[in-house]
Amino acid sequence: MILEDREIVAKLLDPATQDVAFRELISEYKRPLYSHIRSIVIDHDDADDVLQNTFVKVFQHVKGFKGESRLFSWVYRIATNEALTFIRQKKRKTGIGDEASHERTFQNLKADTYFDGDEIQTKLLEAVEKLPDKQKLVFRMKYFEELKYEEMSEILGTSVGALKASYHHAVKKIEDYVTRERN
Amino acid sequence: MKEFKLDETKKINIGFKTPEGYFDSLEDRIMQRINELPEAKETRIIPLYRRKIWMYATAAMIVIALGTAFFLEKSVDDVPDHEVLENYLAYQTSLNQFDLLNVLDTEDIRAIQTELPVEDKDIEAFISDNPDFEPILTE
Repeated sequence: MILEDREIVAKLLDPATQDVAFRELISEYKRPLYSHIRSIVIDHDDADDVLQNTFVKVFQHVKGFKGESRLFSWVYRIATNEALTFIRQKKRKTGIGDEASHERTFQNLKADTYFDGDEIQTKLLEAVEKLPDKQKLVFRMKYFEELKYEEMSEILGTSVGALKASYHHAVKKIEDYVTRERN
Repeated sequence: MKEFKLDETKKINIGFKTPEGYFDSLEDRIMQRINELPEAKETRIIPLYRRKIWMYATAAMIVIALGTAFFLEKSVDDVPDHEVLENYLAYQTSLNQFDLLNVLDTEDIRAIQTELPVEDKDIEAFISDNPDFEPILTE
């Protein structure tokens, strides 16, 4: 475990410093984690729920953090799992298939008060929604969140080479889709 | 036909906004949820007071002991079978892989593996039916 992570974890586990340390952790991660989760679940209220659940899980499980990856990757992994689980459960509850689910997500996005995308943003998000799940996740993390391949590899447990291939396939599909839609 | 090229286009931002002040109160809301967790409440020390309380406590213990015995006897028949438990875990809870990994030890995982023998030909069929695995195979 790197020194900085060890110090943060020690503070999170000590009842005397726990509250302050956890508030600091939330402050540091809230914006990037929100963006990460929102890009997966799309709707703001859903992102808020998932973000809060993520921090609660971090708090509950930090004593089991072994330092095999960096704290940053570990927290992102929890957020990713929470967001993907949320999406799966939402699909099951509504009982609709992938295609209808993408369509509904996209219609909701256009009506979302907290989305002000222009034509190209809207087309791009529409194209991303149509990608297979893994490519969708990789594209969002690389293009929108600008994470490095090495960071993504630690978070997703996938090799850098496979991530680069996924990103390449995703970009190709997006370019084809947007080209078709604009002509 | 003009081709759209992502790397030749100005960086496109995602276009998501948040309600005003959303991030300002986030720490307070999350800390409130954490303080309401059962484990947070358990750590509080509740003093046991003297005199009459013991009389009430003893009476309560007898009632609880009798109630528990009755409940246990009844609940033996109510244990759900594996299928019901699996369906509950899959559809009704917010458990995900991360939670399960935290509660399973190596022995549990080994036990699950032995219950799920997978033939090589099934793995090959799965990979050929799932093109998402292509990037991994080309690695």
